[in-house]
Amino acid sequence: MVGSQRTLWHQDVTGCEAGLAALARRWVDAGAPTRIKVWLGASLCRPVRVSRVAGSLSRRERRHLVESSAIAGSGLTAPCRLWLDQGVDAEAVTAIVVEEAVLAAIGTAFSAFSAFGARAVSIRPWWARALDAALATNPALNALGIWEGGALTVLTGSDDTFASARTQLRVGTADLAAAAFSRALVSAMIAPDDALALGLDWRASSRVEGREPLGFGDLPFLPWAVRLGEHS
Amino acid sequence: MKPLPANFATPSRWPRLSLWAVAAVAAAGAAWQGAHAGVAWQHLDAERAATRALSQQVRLKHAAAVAHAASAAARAPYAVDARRLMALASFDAAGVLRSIESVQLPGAKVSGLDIDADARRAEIQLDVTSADVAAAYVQGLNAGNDHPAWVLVRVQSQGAAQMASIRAQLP
Repeated sequence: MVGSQRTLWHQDVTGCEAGLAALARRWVDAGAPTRIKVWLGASLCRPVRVSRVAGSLSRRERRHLVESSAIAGSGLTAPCRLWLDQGVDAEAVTAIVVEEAVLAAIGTAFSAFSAFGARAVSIRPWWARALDAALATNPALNALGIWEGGALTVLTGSDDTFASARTQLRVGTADLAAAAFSRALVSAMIAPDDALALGLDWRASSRVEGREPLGFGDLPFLPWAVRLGEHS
Repeated sequence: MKPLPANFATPSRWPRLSLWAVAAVAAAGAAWQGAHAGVAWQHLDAERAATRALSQQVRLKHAAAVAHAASAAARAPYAVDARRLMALASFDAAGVLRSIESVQLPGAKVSGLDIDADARRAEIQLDVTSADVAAAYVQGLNAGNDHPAWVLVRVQSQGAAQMASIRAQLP
């Protein structure tokens, strides 16, 4: 799936390279923007919660173990690039993992635009942006489920800490995602009132009559964002 | 939860002259700040004392609120028993043993195994020649799983050898 916020289109493709090629073809139609924000789905960029490995380890060994555990936990293929929400000496860290091959493919695709002054100013997971929007609306949120591209990302926690962060693949429909998120809430003993589940449904639009607006004003791809559970 | 501002884009390379200009402005700012820091320090001491007193009050109120919430959120005993029975019935101990038997790695030897069906947890004690072998063993255990359950929780040196603890929290 690829999309453009300004012209609001989407196109189903298979594979990261095919998506970037489709985006390149639409670049001129989108007004040849020079500052491009790239949003990755959870099938390409996933969160993982990694606990601290105890023992008499050096900081370098500890970092190595955190990185290898995060890559193994994500299910992605090394080499990967990681972002950690805090230092490796913490009791547990939330890692965000993306394959270097994906970043290289994005870099290659954007190299064609660089002669025109265009570059990717940010490459972020869309679910992280949805987390920003959800927390801005409800800072006391205890669980967030984000379904897009057939992957369901579930984040739980309270205050400034995460209790879990994982992505479930091959969740084909919004109804399946809503059911899986409900099970996750039961497992974590979180009340539905303290949770929010969002999805990107390319067949739907939040402008459809009768659908309650999400209230996330600047969330990318907002017209396709829906609350799970009230989808069908 | 908190925002996760991960950004995997490569930062733009600024011209060197711009960096020097930024450094010069920063140095001038630092000098100006230093001149005023002495006066600000005196005010700061008084503010710190007031903040400490307020923080103490906030901690006490927070502790009281947490204790109240914990007592209100107590679950009915039958719910705990039912959940425990379901967990015991659905625990796949044979699958755990098969996972362990399927991983054969030079430099890694299983020295202990603890399976807690009640808590749905398994822990392996492993004699390893290095931390990398322990990490590779974990990857072997998790191979082929969309949701890897095994994590390395401890690597401890014992003379020339190392001992690793690997734990699984099973769904």
